[in-house]
Amino acid sequence: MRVAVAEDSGIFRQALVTLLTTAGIEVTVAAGSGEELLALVAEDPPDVAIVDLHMPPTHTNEGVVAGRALLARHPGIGVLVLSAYNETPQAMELFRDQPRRVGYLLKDHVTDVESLCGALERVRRGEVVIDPDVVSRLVEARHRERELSRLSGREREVLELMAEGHSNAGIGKRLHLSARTVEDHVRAIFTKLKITSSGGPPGPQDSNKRVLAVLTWLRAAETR
Amino acid sequence: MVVVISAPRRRRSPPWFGQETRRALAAGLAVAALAYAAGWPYWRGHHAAAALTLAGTGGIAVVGALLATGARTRRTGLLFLAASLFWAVNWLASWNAGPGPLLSPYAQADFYLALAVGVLLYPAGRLEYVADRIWTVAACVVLWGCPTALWITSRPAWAAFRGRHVWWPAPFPDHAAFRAVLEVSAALYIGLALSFAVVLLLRLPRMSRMRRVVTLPVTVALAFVGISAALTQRPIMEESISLDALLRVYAVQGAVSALIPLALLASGLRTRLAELAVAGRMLRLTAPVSVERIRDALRDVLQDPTLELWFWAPAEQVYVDTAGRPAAVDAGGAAPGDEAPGDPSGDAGRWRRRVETAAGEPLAIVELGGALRDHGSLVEAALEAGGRALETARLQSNVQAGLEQVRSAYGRLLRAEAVERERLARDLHDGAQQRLLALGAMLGTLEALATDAEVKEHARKCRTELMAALAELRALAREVQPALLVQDGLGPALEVVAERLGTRVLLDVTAERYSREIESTLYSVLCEALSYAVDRARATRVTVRVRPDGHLLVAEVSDDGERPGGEPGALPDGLAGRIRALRGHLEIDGEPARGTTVRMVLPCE
Repeated sequence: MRVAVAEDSGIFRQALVTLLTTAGIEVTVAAGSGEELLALVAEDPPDVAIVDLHMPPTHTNEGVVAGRALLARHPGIGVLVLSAYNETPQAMELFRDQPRRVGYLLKDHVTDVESLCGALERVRRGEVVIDPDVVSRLVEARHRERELSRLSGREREVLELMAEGHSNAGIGKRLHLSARTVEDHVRAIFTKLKITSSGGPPGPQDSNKRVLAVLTWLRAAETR
Repeated sequence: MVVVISAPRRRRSPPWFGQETRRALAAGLAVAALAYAAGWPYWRGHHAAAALTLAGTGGIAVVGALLATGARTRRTGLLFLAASLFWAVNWLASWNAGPGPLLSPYAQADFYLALAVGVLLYPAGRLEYVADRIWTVAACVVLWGCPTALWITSRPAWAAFRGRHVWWPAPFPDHAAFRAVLEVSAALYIGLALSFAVVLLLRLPRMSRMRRVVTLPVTVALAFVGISAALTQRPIMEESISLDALLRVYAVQGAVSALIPLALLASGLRTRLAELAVAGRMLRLTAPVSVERIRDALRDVLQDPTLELWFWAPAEQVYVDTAGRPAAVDAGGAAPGDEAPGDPSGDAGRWRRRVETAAGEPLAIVELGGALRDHGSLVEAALEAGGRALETARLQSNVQAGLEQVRSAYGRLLRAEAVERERLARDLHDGAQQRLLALGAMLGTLEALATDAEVKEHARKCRTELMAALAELRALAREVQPALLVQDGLGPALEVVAERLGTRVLLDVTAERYSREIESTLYSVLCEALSYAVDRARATRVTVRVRPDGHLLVAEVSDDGERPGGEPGALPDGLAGRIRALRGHLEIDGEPARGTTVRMVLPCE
């Protein structure tokens, strides 16, 4: 896999490149800002671009801006946004009307080779990846609400994995359930949470759209 | 140029018996004695007329001497004094010999002329209006012309003087001409009296209300005296009347003139009563004392809504306004105690008065409308009555000024703190955190590279420990200053807090950005209010609204929780203090059972 990196902190960028190289991933570009990254990958786009959320000049959402620009210019490229903070508002912009080849990972989990490579692999395949800590924080934030309390423990687990971007098959594999059972849980969750999705209950194929629906439900306080 | 005059002084002797009063009484006695000597032949047979005339003449002299001591009434006083002398001289006619009969008509005319002009000169010390000047000129012509025509065209016997030694030139005695002179003179006198009444009436509307109240009795008395003089003069404007008839008319006119000192006395009493009333009202209106209340009381009793008041703050050596803010008030070049009434260089008619304590220290400056210049004693009475309240209010305003200083110092501290927090949070975020994350990635690399299972395990453990340390560092950084607050403002920062709290929190927060200290303070206070509502009051629904309202920023936290034991407070004192330091205020309403709304209002630019 070929990867480009944009990260303003030199010391972390270097450590990240070393880690990626060690894991057998080819790093084609290591840039210090979103602008630089866009310029350097223009000729030869990588499979996935890893961008830091907070970069100069404003340290607000440069990562998301650069990521959306990359996705628009290079169809087929994957974007994984990194953030040091488990705080959603700007990062969630990335997923707006973009249910494919995007991911949001906390920097803490980047230091773990397996979760980094797993996320990169999934983004390259076209999935949506959301850091489990981000999802659990969102779910945690809503845990006192009535609708969420109607879910069973198993359904809660399925909901969180759905929100992280896993497909029905992925969920089944992690929870040791059959694809059929997972689908039943998904349907039950959607009914209980009153999540509506165009074209009937979401199946395994539109798992990415499903992520958005779940995320939207989790984040929106005023939907009901 | 402002006029600064003295502070209210405590009077040491009764105001009505000073050196001036003694002198005035002496002048009155002297003039009465003169009148007694001048009218001696007549008084022998007419005791009642003598008493009345002497009292009236002496009274006018006393009033004149008293008025002459006031700076604004000096000319009026001198003219009244002259009038009383003229009236005394008038009685020389009773000797029926020498120059007396010739002087008498002039003295009588000048008596009225001096009285009338004296009143017209009050209180400006000059003839202010065109009507006044025209009347004065006409009166001089008539009142000097008619007596002159009298001796030119008559023999003394025709004019009631049949004595043998009367000094009377009579260059062109002619019966027909003399009768014509008498007819014309009588008509002119009546015209003069009526026009004088009109001139007096014309002056009234141009006066301020207070001045009108004081001058009205004198005006009415004078108009009456003038008209009655002209009417009583009429019967003696006949040929060959007796001297006795002439002198009887003089006695009546003198008695009527006694009305003038009486009217002035009434005005003086009225002024004194107004001063007493002002003092009483000041004492009533200033309790309980406050800076604004004193100013409002002074505005009220002096009927001057433009009145302004500044207090001396001794510590800062400046004058401060009623809100405690330093004001650039020019104390003026005039020394304390210096009085300059009617100074034409006054600042657009405004009048500034310096008020001092009994010890002679500056206390306050009062600025009044120029119309109050004529009521110095009234102003003095009001300031004297309010003197104690002024001193209390001065102390109060000093405390206010001190508080203001503390508040602005606290505000500066908050600003410095916000800057420092921001710097610290940035250091933690950009420096320490990135370094630790890089260390984590290196440990990850080591873990991936290590072939030895034990090394791999140690590297993993190190990384886990490191991540725990990072989490603590982040929590610390968030405490210091959430990165989001600096980057995106209150809305996004509160969103994260709301997500962490978990209760259904509705956020309606403006996207506007505000100064560091406002955002930082509001963030801390809103976090505190939110966590109180959720953790202590067990609210299930909390609404946070932050909206600009003109030059104010209004933040509200409403919840449906219950306050245990009906405690209304939802904020620690320190946070409320921070709101006040930014010149904002805090309101808490609601009932323990029905939820609570905490509202913070901050001024913002």
